[in-house]
Amino acid sequence: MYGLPLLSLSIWVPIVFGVAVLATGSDRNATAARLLALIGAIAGFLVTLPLYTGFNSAGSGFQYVELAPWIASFNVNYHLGIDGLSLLLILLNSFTTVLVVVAGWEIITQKVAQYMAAFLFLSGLMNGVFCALDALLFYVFFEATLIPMFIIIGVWGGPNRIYASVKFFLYTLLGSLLSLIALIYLYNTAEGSFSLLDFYQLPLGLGAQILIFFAFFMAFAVKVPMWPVHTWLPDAHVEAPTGGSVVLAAIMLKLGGYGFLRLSLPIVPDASQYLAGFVIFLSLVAVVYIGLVALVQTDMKKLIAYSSISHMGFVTLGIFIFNAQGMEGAIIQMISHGFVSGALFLCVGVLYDRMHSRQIADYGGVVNRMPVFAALFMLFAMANSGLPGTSGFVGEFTVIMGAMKANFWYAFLAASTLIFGAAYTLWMYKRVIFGAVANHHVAELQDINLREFLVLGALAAAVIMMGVWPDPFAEVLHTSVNDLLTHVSQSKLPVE
Amino acid sequence: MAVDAERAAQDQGVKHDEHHDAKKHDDHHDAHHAAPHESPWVVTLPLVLLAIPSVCAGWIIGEFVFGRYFGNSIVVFDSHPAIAALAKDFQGVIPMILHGFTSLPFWFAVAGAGTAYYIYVMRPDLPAVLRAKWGVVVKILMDKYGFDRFNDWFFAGGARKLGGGLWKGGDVAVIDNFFVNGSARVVGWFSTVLRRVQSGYIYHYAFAMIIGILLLLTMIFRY
Amino acid sequence: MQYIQPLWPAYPELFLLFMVCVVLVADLFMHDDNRTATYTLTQFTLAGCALITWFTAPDSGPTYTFSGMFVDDLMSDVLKLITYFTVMGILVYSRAYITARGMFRGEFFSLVLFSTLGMMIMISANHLLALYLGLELLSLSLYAMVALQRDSARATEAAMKYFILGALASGMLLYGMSMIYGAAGTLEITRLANVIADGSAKGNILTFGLVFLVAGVGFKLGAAPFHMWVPDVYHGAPTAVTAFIGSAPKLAAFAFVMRLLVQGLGAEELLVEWRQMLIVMAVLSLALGNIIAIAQTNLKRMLAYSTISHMGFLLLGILSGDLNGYASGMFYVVVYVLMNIGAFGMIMLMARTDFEAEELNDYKGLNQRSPWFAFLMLLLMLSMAGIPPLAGFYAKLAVLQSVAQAGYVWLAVVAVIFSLIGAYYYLRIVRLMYFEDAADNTPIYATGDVRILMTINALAMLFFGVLPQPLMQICVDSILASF
Repeated sequence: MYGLPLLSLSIWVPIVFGVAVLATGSDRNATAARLLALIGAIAGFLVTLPLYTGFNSAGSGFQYVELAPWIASFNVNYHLGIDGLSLLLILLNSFTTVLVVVAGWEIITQKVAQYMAAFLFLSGLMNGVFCALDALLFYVFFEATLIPMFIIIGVWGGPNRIYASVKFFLYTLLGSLLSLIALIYLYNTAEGSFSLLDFYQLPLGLGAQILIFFAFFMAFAVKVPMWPVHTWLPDAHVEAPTGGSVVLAAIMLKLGGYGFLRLSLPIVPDASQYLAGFVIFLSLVAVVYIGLVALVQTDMKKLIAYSSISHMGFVTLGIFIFNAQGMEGAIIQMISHGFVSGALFLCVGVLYDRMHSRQIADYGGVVNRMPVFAALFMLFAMANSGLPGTSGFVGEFTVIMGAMKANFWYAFLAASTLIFGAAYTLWMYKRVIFGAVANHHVAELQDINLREFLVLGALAAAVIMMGVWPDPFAEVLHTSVNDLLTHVSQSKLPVE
Repeated sequence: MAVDAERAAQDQGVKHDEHHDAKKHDDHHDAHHAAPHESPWVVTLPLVLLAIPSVCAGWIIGEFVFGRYFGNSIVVFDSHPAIAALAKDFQGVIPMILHGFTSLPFWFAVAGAGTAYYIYVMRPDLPAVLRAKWGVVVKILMDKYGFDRFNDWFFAGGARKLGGGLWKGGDVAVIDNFFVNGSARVVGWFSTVLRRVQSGYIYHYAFAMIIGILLLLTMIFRY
Repeated sequence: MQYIQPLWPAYPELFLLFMVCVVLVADLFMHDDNRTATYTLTQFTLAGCALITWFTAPDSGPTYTFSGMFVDDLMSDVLKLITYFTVMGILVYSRAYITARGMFRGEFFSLVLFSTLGMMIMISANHLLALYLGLELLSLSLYAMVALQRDSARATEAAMKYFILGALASGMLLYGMSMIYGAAGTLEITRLANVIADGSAKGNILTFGLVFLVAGVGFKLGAAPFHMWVPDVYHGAPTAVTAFIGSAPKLAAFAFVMRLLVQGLGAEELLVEWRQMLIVMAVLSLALGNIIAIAQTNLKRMLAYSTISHMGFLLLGILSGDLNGYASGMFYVVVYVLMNIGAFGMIMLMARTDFEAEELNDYKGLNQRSPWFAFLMLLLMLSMAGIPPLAGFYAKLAVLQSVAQAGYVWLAVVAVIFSLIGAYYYLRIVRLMYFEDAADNTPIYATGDVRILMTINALAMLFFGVLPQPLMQICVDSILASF
C-alpha cells in the first residue's frame, strides 16, 4: 500500500531516530532528546498503522513481503513479511514505545539521550523480529534486542541491577545460542538456505525434529518465560526502570510466544505434537505454581512479574493444544497481556516515583489521596484478574474453551487462574489502595498529572475496547491461525 | 415478605457486618454523636420503587411460571416435569395466597419475626441472659459455624503457605540458588582453580608443551 | 611444474627489505626529540608495500618464484594487505604510548618492519625452509620488541619466557620438518602434496613428523596445550608490543597453517590425523581460554586468555577440512585481528605516562568520562563475545556452520556453550563502563589520528555486522583461487 516498504520503515525509522537522539549529546540537551524521541516514537507508530488498514484478513501467506539479497555467501536474504499474528505484535510494539517515551519524560534525568535512544533501538529491533522471514535475520534481530535491554536495566535500574541484568543477558543468551545450532543444522539440511519458508517445507526425521524442538524450546521457553527457566524475570523486572519493565513485559516476552508460533510449530510439527503434553504440563505448572507464588509476594513489581509468568503460561497452553480456539486465544492473550501488564507496571511506577518504595507494606489507603489513579489501577487490576468486559477475559476464556475441547483437566487447571489471578491482584490492590491512610508518606501523595493520565488512559481505552469489541483484533488472525494449524497437522517425516 | 426480608437484612447488615464497617459506623457515631436517623430520599425512593413490585409481582406469577410466557426459550426435559407437576396444583393467585398462609415456611417466618419481636422489643433483658446461659451456642452462631474462619485458615492461609513454600523452596532454593547461581559458582570455582596452572615457572610451561606433544602422539598412534 | 623466475611477485618484500635498511640508517642521524621522520618513513614503507602488492597481484592463479620457494596467490595478497593496514594502525595507536615510555626509537620501528617482513615471507612461503625462515625472522624480532623496555622486570621476564618457549617450539617444528623430509624426500610444499598423493611417502614417519608440526603451529597460534606463553607475554610486554603480537602474526600463523597443513599435508589420510589433533586442541583452547579469563583482573591478561579461546574457534574452522571451512577460518582471523587491535588500541588510548590502564577497574564509569569511547569499547567487546549485529557474530556463525557441515555438530554445541561462558567476561567490561561510577576522573586525551582510527576501527565492527558480505566474499574468493 502506498508503494512504500512499510516493514522496513517500521524497523529503521525508530533506529534512525535513535541515532539522532544519541547525537543530541549530553544532558544539557535533554529537552531536545526527549522531543526527538517522542517524534521518533510517534513516527514509528504512524508507519505501522497502514499495515493494519491495508491488511487483507482473508489472504493466506505473508503480506507486505520485501526480499533483497543480504549475505550471498550464506544465501541469507533480507526477507520481511507479516501475517495476522505479526501484525498485531508490531502494532502493540510501536504503541507501547510511544507510551514508554511519554512515561519516562520527567522521571529520567540522567543520560536522557541514551535512555530514549535505547528504547527506540529496542523498538526497531523488535519490529525486525516480528517481520523477519529469514531464519538468520530473525536470529540477528532476536539477539540484538538483548543489548539495549541489558543497558537499560543496568544503567537506570535499582540497587541490585547488575546481578539482574547479567542474569537476564546470560540466561537468554544460552537459549538463543542453542537455537543457533539448530538453525545451522537446518541450513545444512536444507542445502544452503536460511529462508523460513524453505524450512517449513523441509522433511525431517523424528529424532532430528525432537532435538531441533528442544533447541528452539530452550530459546523461547527462557524468553516467554516458562517454568522452570523463569527466575530471571522477577529479578529483571524488580530492578529495571519503569519503562524497561513495561517494554520487557509488554513485548519482549511475546518474542518467545511468537518464536513458538513462527519457528517451532511449522518447522518441527511432529515433534511439537509429540512433546505437546510436556509443554502443556509446564504451562499448567506456570499457571498454578506461579499463581501461588505470586500470592505471597511483598514487592509489587515482583508480584506483577510472577503474574506475567502465570498469564504467559496461558499463551503456551493455548498454542500447544493445537486447535483454532486455543491458538487464537493465545494470541489475543499475548496482546491483552501486553496492555494489562504494561499498564500495571506503569501504575506501580507512578507510586514508586512518589514514594520510592515498591513494598506493599509501605502503602495503604492510597485511594484517599489519589482517587483518579485508584480508578485506573482498579480497571487494570480487574483486567489482570480476567473480568469480562476487559481484554483479560477474552484471551483467557477463549483458551479455556479451547482447552476444554482438548482435555477437561487442562481446562480445569487453566481455569484456576481465574481464582489465583483474582486472589493475588485484588489482594494487592486492596492492601495498597483501600483502607485508611497508612502513614504520613501516603498522606502526602499527589494524584496523577496529565502526562501520567494520558499514558494510563490510552492503555485503559485499549483494554476496554479489546474487552468489549475484540473483533478488530481477532479478525486478522483467523486465516493465519487456520493456515498454521493445517500446516502443523501435516506430518513432515520423510517418506520411507 | 420480600420487603420485610430486605429491610431486616439491611438492619442486620449494619449489626453483623465486618469489623471495619462496624468500626466505621462507630467512628461515624462517635464523631457526630448522632442517633440513628431516617435514610435520605436517594435511598428511600428506590426502596419504595422496589417495594411495589415486591408486593404486587405475585399477582402475575401464574402467567409467567405456569403459562406460555417463556414459550420455547426454556426447554423442560420430559424426565423432569417439575413445573408441570406444580401446575396441576395451581388454581389461581388467591388460592395460592390462601394456601401460602397455611404452609410451614410462612409459619417459620412468623415464628422468627415473633421471636425477634419478643426478645428485642418485649424483653430487652433476655439477650444478655441467653448469652450468659448458652454462650457456646451464641458464639457458634455468631461465628457463622466457623466456616469463615475455616476458609481463612485453610484456603487463604493454606494458599499463602503453599505459595511461600513453593517460592522459597522451589524458586529461590532449587532453581535460583542451585541451578542458576550454582552453575555460575561452579564455573567461577573452576576458573580460580585452573588459573593456578599458569604457575609462572617457565619449566612448567615447557613441560606442558612436551606433555601436549606426548598426548598428541599417543592419540595419533593409538588409532 | 615450471618455475618462472620473475622477481616481481617478491617486489613488496624486496621493497620492504630495502626500506628497513634505509630506516635503520636514517635513524642514526636523527635526534631523540625529532624522530617523527622515522615514524613517517615506516608508515610510508608500509603504504608503499601495500601499493606494490596491489599492483603485482597475479591475474590468474598462483605465481611461483625463487625456485618454487615463494608463491604469490590471492590469499597471500589479501593477507598481506590486511597485515600492512594492521601494522600501520598499530603504529598510529602506539605512537603516544611508546613516546611516553622512551621506546620511540629507530630500533622499535625497524624491528616492526623486520617482523612484518618475516610475516610476509611466511604468508608467501612455498617451501618448508622459507616458512621457517619467515617464522624465525618474525619471532626473533618479536622477542626483541618484547624486551625493548629494558627497565621493566616484567617485560624482561616475558621476553625470556617467549624466547625460550619459542625456541622449544621452533625446535619441535624443525624436528617435524626433518621427519617430513625423511619421509617424502622434498621440502617444497606443492611437491610435497604431490609426493604424498602418489603414495611414495612413508606413512608412519609422516604422521610422526606431523605431530611435531602441529605442535609448532599450536605454539604460534597460542592454542592449548601450547598456550602457556600467551598470558605471561601479553601481560608483561609493553601494550604496544602486545597489540602487535596479538594481531598481525595471527594472520601469518593462519597462512602458516594453510600452507603447511592444508596445502602440503592436506591429503586425506593425513587430514584425518591432524583433524583429530586440532579437535583436541580446539576444545582445550575453548575451555581453558574462556574459563580462566573469568578470574582475571588485568585486562591485558584477560584479552590474552580470550585470544586463546578465539584461536580455538579458528581451529574449528580449519579442522572442517573443506574450502568452506578454510574460508570461514580466514574470515574469522581477519575479524579477530580487527577486534584485537581495537581493544589494545583502547588500552593505549586510556594509558598515560605513569598509568598503564591495564586493570579492569580502570574502566569503571567510562560512560560518564567519555560516552563515545565507552560506546566504541562496547562495540569491540560485544563483537568479541559474538553478539549480533556485530561482526564477531558472523565470524562465529561461519565457523560453526562449517564445523556442523563437516559432521561435528557436537563440537559446535561445545563451542557455543563455552562461548556463553566467554560472554560473561566481555560483559564485565561493559558493566564496569556503563553501570558503575567513575573512580578516576582525569580527562582522556587522545590525538586526532588516534580518535579517527579508533572510531573507524570500532564502527567497522558494526558496519561488517550489518553488511558482512563484502569481507566474506573476499575471503571465499581468496581461498578458492589459492587452493
